[in-house]
Amino acid sequence: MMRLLFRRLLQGAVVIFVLETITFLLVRALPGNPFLGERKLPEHVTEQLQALYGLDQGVFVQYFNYWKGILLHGDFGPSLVREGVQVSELLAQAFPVSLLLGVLGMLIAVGIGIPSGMLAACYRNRWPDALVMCFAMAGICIPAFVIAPLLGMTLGMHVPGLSVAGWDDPLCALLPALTLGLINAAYLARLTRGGMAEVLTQDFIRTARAKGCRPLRVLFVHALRSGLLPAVSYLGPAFAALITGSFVVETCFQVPGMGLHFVNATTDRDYFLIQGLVLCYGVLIVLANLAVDLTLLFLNPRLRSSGAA
Amino acid sequence: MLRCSRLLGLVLACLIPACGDGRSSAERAADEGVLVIGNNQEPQNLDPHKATAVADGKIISALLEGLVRPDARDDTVVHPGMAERWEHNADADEWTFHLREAQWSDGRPVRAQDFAYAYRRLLHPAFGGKYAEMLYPLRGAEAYNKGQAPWEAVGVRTPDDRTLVLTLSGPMPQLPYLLMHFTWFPVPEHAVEAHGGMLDRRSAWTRPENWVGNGAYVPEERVFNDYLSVRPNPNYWRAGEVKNRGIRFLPVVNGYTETRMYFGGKLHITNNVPPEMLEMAASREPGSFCRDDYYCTIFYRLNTTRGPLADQRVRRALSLAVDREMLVQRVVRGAGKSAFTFTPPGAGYALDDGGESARSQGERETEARRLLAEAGYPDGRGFPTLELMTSSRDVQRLMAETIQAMWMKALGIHVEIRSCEWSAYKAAQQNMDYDISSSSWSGDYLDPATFVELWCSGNNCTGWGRAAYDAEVDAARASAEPEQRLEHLRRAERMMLREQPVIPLYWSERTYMKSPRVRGWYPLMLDNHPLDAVELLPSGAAADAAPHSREGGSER
Amino acid sequence: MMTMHSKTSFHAGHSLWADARERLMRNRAAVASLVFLLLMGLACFVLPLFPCIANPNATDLGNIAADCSWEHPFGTDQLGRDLLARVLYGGRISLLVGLVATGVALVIGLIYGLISGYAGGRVDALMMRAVDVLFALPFIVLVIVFSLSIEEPSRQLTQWMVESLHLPRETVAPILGLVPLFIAIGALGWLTLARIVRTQTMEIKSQEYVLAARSLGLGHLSILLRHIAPNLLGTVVVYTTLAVPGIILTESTLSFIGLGVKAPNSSWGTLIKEGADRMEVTPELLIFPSLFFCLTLLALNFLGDGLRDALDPRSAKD
Repeated sequence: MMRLLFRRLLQGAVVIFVLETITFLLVRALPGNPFLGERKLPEHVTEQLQALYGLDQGVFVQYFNYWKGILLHGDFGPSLVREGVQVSELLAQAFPVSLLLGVLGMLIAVGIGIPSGMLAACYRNRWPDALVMCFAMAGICIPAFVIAPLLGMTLGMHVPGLSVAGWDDPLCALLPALTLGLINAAYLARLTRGGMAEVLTQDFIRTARAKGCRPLRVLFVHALRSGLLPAVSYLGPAFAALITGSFVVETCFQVPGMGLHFVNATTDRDYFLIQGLVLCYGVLIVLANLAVDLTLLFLNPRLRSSGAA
Repeated sequence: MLRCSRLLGLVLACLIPACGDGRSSAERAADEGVLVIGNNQEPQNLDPHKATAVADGKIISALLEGLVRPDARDDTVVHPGMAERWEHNADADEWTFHLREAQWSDGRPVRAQDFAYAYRRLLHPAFGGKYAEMLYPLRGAEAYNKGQAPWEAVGVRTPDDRTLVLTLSGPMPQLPYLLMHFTWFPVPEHAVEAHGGMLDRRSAWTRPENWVGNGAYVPEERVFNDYLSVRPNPNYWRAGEVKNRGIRFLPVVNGYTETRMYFGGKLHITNNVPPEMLEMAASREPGSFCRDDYYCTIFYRLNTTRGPLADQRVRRALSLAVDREMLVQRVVRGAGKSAFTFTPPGAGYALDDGGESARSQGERETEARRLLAEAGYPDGRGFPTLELMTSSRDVQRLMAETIQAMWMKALGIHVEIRSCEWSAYKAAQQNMDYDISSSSWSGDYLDPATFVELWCSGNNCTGWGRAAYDAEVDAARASAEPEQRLEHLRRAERMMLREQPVIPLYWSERTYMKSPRVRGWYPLMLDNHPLDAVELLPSGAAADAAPHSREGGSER
Repeated sequence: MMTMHSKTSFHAGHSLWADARERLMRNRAAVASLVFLLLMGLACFVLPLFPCIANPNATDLGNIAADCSWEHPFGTDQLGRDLLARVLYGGRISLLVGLVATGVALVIGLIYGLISGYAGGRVDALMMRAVDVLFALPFIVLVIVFSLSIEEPSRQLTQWMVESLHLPRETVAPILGLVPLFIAIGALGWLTLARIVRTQTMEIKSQEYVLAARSLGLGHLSILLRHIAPNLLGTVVVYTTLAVPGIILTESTLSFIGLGVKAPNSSWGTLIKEGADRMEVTPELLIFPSLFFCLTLLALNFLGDGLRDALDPRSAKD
């Protein structure tokens, strides 16, 4: 168990290292630089600015310094576009916002997806199943960037309390989170239905039924545990989908989270901010995958003995 | 679809317990006396020496005050700001400003030395001030900025704490207009020195907790990409006349989203209603919809070093073949005026376009075809495919697609559209890695020089440059007589237009929404609104919207 | 679905493909999807060749945001361009990116998986660890940065092709403008396929006929090409079909946030973005592209599921 954890963490460190290295190199290959203004800067000014932020050094020196800053001082570097602001401050402000949206979105996804998947599995090939699968298919095929403006326009405009865009009220989180939730709920419903349907035909369930267990007890106690496996293993990729979704949703709803920062930072060429955000995303993904692995381990005792997930 | 959504909304409204008291956030803010205003983009910097963006300038103007301050109704009126009074010599190249007794927000007096310190900082050759050029009218400033002369040679003197003497490189009767730009504002020497010193670009003095300013407001809180809020500065010399209890600047880039946020009760004043929403916005809240003249030109740059564009006749043909009337009416939906000359009329300056606007588009196109044929491309035959570069911003792209079609129809030439995201666009333009580039310029101050000086040789990103043009601009800089100065600028601009390194398209207008509860906001060409004059009426009092015009309104 | 397959009796002499086709034909949703996709493909790639479809770039400023009519079945957009034509051309770009990027992913994934599975041992372990690592990367972030950073080189390539090879710019530029997206999305989308190919390769490798071939002295390359690759076809077809919608979605998402397809091209993603901005003024600009986009994704998903059931009966439909 501990060995698995250790191995996974080590692997995670490699992931983050690779990710950061690729980003570091790619970002510097982007056309333009962070100091471009509306009018052309005199050559010497650009050079001064580059020197000030160490961008005139060789790529390897810069790369080395970047890691040194992070590992020794926990310093993600300065924002190059908003001079005087540290990347860590921006992250500290944006991270909780995105986290809130992500968690809410995940809750909505799980809250809608898993129960409806179970419902579908129980009423297999009858109308509730068809209905749920219809909605799930729609959820898979209607992307966040269609749902977000539609929700904003319909609910946001006409329901008091909800907002079209902005972040000045706790209820502002609702529509973005709903958008994020809906895109994942569909996948979860399909996977739960598939997993549950397979489990429900298995012998131990029949035995449990034959023994006279109440149907609900059979469903929740016996079947749920292994029936959820496919859905849980999807949660890792679901997390990645949340990140993609957050780009769309945060731009549509003006949410000051990491997604909006990322989209802006790439167009502004704010090198250190891009790198910091990517690092943040990397850590999140690694942790999410780890959490999924551990959950799978908990749900499926067979994996525990073999020691690999 | 809409009715359905309303019904759904109604159902949900019953399900979701109404939050708070049912007031929208803009209403709540208005009741607290806080103005919520759309500010286009997240400000880059509150330090007047590092900021360059328009969005930054609007906030800085609320936080710092220069020697003079703007009027709420009229761009041409200048009020005494930090300077109580001023005088200049007969040549208008030496100005003496007598400062009033004013305080920084931490209670220290505002001294003439703070101005000198600010100018030295922006111009310092080791500081990397992006907007240092703005101070070049000061004698010796350019040489100092380029490291060729000592600071002592720059025309800034402080005989005592309350007197500032500015010596200019030439006569400049319009100096007070320039002084309203944030690059001329003072910074608190003691505060800047306490946080890393003059040359520290990463200085923390502009953070809300460290901020020291002399303007009507001090920053309160900043959440990146969300808002920046300011509250009144109790030590401001006109603190009693500040009409509201704070401002919140929201960085909403997308005009569609912003307009929706206005109708959703999130904002009092927006930054921009995009063309396609104009009709809807104007009919939905006619009293709140504003359309103001703006000191801004939309134009195309031509890279005069490339292929056929090196030929003046080709450039002229391209310009003539653009149906500006159609562009303004159909693409911009009327939010602009066709431009055949570059500088927008204003500040006593207007250039007659030589009868250009009086001709019909058909006549212009005939001439364009003739010019193109003369240049060796009859009916566009043999004309190479040029690239028309735009940023990926919506209106720019639509405009490019329209003009692409116009050139095809009138001249038979095909241009390829190349749309780049913002940084790549700026880089390509500044490295002259383009054929035709969609551009815009809004004046930094109310004077045609801010437009005409753009085309001096060297840095104009078109490769065009004429010694005669530079000479006219220099002559304008050297002349103390206002009408003579303008005449030099006119001559320069006419020369430029004859050779057409740029195609002026239209002078844009600002279209935005303004809540009926807002008072004290009038149309201004520079969009340089003194926000302390903006008042928010208590709820219920705003039954009818205030007339949105310079003359209207009862309060003054 | 398992039950259905187990009931299917396998007639002697039927090849795998014939069986698969029979199974697919019985799946009504998949057949309908296939027909729909064929029609959509024809509509996007062939129909615009006929004069009945207007030029999508022909602006008509006298007729902006017009309602649906015989002349303009979907109405016109904010510059008076025919919306139907724009949606079809947008589909062209979206489908093209979807197919080509999937192709790129396919080639990389296939080669990688084959090598890894066939070599086995240490090489395999190393290669699979690398895939694990890449799997955990936030895909979209890299696609964005990567596609932007190879934009400039691809522009220079266009320039070179126009100047040195004398190819007409009008035809070269729009396609090469998409190259960064092809590569970026494809280069990062091959992971799933590599894993699946590897597993299958290992399985096939251990089968008797492969062992026999090897004992006969056949070279590795010919074993890979003659015996292993053909047997992978089914799996590859299934997972390719399943990958296309994801890739189209990625492209459209990028275009929506302004970092994907750029003018002069417009994909469904950019059209939807334009429509979403203007939806209270001209809702049809949002509705029609979204409809086409969602239906295409739907059909691709159904077809993918159907193919999986038909070609790979072991995997249960979820």
